[in-house]
Amino acid sequence: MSYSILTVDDSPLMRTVVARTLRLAEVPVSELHEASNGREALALLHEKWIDLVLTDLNMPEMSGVELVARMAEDGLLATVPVVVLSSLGEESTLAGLTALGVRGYLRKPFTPESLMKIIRETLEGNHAS
Amino acid sequence: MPLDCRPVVAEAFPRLLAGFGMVFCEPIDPRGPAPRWEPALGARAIFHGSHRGVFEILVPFSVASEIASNVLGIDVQEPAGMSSREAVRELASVVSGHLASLLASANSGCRPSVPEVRVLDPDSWTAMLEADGTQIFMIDDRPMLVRLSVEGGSR
Repeated sequence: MSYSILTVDDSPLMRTVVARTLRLAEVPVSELHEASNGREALALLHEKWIDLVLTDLNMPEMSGVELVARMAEDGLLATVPVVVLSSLGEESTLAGLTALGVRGYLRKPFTPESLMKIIRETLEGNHAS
Repeated sequence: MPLDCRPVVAEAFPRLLAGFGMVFCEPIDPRGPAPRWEPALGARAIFHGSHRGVFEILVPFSVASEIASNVLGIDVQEPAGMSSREAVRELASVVSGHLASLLASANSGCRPSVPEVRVLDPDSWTAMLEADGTQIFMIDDRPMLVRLSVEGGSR
């Protein structure tokens, strides 16, 4: 099985890092989509089949928190697993994201190994369920 | 009244720089001889919420391209090119995010803006060197300037 993954980050550098990590980890990726903010991500989510969203929080135009909230309100998008990759670590923010259904949280800076681990756990957990 | 954020920055910045860019730095006494001007990129994020203020870093071109090379796993040649700018912007984003989380109170969040990056002139370098709260971190013989200036909260 291969996966369609959407990376949402306003930094092209970080989107490149995620793509490189996915290649190195040999995660079976059928399509890798990129968005630079929550608004672009929502548009892609309505157009493409996405198996996993990896999103930053602090982005212009639409933040990752708003993206996750919009996805949670949408009957179809609410089932798409989301992993947050961010430097923000306030407990209230993390609790709010968990309440909205976020599956995983990885704090920047992260190692390629930790990113691989959380992606595998999320995809395998979703496939098992 | 501005808070003294130097201890928080002194603990967090070297750890986050190493974790993000695989670059290691050491703090030096800002009362010592001023490090010489180097062509540099600057990044700035504005803090909102429980603490209001600004976070700034000044990164010499050679350090910026080294960070970009380490993060991307390729040799970045352009010292002030897009990859170096993005590396400095993301470094500022990572550090400001951690600092905001450390400053946030239980009931009120503290959020940094998306950082902005620009090429600095010598006057900007001097102004930051002379500003209250600026800390200097050396990567070998190359200085990085870091400053967090915020008000508010109960720290």
